[in-house]
Amino acid sequence: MKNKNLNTRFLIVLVLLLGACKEKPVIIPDFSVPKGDRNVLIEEFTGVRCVNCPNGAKIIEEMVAEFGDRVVPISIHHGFFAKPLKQSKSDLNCHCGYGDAVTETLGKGPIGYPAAVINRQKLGSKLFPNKDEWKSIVLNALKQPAPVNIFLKVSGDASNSQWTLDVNLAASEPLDDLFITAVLLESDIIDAQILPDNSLDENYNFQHVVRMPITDAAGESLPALASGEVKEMKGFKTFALQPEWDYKHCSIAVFVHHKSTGTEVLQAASIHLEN
Amino acid sequence: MNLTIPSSLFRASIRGFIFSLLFLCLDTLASGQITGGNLSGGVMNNTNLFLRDSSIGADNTPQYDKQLIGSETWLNLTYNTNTVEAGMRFDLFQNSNLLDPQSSFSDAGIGRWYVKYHYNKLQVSGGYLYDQIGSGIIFRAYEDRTQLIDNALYGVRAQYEMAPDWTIKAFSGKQKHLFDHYKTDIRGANIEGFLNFDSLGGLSLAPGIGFVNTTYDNKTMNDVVDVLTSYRPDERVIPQYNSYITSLYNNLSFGPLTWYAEWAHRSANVLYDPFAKRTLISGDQIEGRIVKRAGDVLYSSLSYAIHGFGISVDYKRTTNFEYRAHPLLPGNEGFIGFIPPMGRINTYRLTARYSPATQYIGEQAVQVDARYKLNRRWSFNINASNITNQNNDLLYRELYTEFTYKKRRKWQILGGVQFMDYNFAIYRGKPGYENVKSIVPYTEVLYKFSRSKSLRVEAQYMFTRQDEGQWAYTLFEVGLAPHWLFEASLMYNVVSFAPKAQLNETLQHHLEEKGRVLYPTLGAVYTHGSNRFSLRYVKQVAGVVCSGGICRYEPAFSGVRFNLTSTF
Repeated sequence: MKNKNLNTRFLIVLVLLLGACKEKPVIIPDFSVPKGDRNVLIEEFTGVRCVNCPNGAKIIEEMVAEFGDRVVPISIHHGFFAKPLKQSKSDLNCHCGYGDAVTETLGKGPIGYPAAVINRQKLGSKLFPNKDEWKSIVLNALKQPAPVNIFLKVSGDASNSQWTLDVNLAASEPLDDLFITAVLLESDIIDAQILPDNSLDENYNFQHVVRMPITDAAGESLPALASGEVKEMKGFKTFALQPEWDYKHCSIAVFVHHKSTGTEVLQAASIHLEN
Repeated sequence: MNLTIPSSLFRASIRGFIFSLLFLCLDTLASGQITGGNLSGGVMNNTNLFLRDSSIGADNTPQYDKQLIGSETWLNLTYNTNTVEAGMRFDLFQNSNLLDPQSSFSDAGIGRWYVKYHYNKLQVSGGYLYDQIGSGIIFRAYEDRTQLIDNALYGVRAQYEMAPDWTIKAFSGKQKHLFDHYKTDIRGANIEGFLNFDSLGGLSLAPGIGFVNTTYDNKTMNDVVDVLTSYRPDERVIPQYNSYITSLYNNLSFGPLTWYAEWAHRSANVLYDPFAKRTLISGDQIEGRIVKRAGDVLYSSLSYAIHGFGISVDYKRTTNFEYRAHPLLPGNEGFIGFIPPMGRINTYRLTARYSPATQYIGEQAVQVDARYKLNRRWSFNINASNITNQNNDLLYRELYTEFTYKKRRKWQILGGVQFMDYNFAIYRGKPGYENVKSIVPYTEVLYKFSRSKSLRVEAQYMFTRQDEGQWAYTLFEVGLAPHWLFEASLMYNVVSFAPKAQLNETLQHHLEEKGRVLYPTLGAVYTHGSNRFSLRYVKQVAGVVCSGGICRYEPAFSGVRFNLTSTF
């Protein structure tokens, strides 16, 4: 009887102790755009046959709305999911080797679509994180200091479709193993896309679609930069638009990255042709 | 000061330790200092030669494009005496597509090591441990090489026999992930026993109670908080570092009646619901969001067997019972528990083509299986299952019938029909797709020419108007005991016999994209003692491969497969 009473009291105390074990609540900070001059590159693998890709595109457009020019998105129509539909007006896969160059640089391609790699780094849980992690990863990437800044100027003649890109780089620390990649993108392309409910939208609005790399798809080598050095590259590249591309909707994404010592994108920037 | 040990250094030091320990054991055994010790082991190797075939989609992966050969090897060694058992396993992956069927994975190292000590009523073990509580719903650490699932607990375990037929067990550690481990802490304990009531006509009970606690590490919590920060304030939830999971279970036996029942509960914490709506600042909604919910599983299996007749009824209800080592892990990664699948495990190629994957957010399932052996020659089986989600939408329904006829020891014929309704939109993640409804008649004939020579023939046909349409399959297998087995099979995508204009849009599209494709397989198997070698030329259609309710997509395969399994 004595033992039974002791056991009962022990159990009561144990239950009370366990009941008193409460965690301190985790605090979710308010969302705010970090101050700084670092921009973030998002390379998204997508395709007209990918039913879930419109959801990925919405997340990217949300980031563009919130972060503005500090996010540089590139939509790569690549692989099986990018094969044109019967209703497609054109093939959004540029067949220019850019998608292959990205997967070759990273050493692997995405498992499923939509997939995005941010600053060509394994951030978050994996190289191609869950779309729910894109925004939080970009937020953290925006907080990083920018080791180099990119200044762009584009000039050209819409009548003969000849354009020239000038690039200036300003390093804030010593940098070597430097490469630069420039890609021509077109937005506001209206064409067919399969939606998440498996219906077909023949007037879907595609944004930031890769039309062609202006440099080598895998990037072009730059000389090392000393801290504080400014490198001017006037007339860096000249290029021509295809007749079916609308220059008013075209932009150029330029980013500086490592290659031999890693794949990290150090800085990104974009400029509209119409500007 | 950062005291993190680089994982490569950690692995190298563990490797050194294990080889030293093994060498010491072998040396001691050789010198006769420990008698009665037993060294055993096994090796398993899969090697694939990838031959590109764009017509079936066997292309655009590193193996088809440039690597050509991929392989996986597992080498086990175990040493045990009366009181001590130690084991290790060396894993080698070379250009393997097992981890990710559309990519390439190469690595090597000690995939597992463990030490176990048994003294009187106490058993303690350390290292990479496989174990489970009850049926595994709240905790199951296991290995499935077909899908490269190996979530062993890297930690310690102690088990003590409190009384005859009663044991208490406790464990603590982290979940293995390839050659590393996730950082979430996992702890658990359970008590289970056996009660016999002879006075009540032989009634016996095997009750148990289990408890698991998981604690996220700071990095995992930061990942979750970072994602929640990007949500609208009204959609944010507050995650907790700790989750508490309990289960009560019992196995009752009473004559021909057996009843296993288990109830499990998980405390409220964050999980990723792929179906929950999330609102963006634009007002658009997308699917998939972190939510915070408690979860439950109720599982029961009742069976009755007497005089050639057996019937079993299984029931399962799952609500928000997904918990992983990291809430944002994709696919089948990081699960801490294992919920039993409820669809019948079909073995024929076409009857297994559409298998229901376990749904962790919401599922209610019933399965009835009845078997009747009329006499020595005739036996019958009928199986029916029905699975719905939390909204009562049909996920899977199957009626499977089978008869078997045996003529002495000369030949055996088996046949039946499967009727199936499969929610393609949910299981394949393709909203808007209609359910696949199919009828599959099948037969298998086994004829023994002599004691050592036999011929087995399978034939199946799938009637359906959805997905890729109709299929035909046949297999011929010649057995030359005791060593050889030769097989040849053909799987043909008939799609439909109707004119193209009469087909629905799905089948028309499929015919245009792929056409009618033949998938042949040719192979030989050689068995000698405990060694088995197989070599096959294979063309295999893309599809979802399931093992125990865990499913994943695998692209088409074209090439040669070699497999070696040996134990010693």
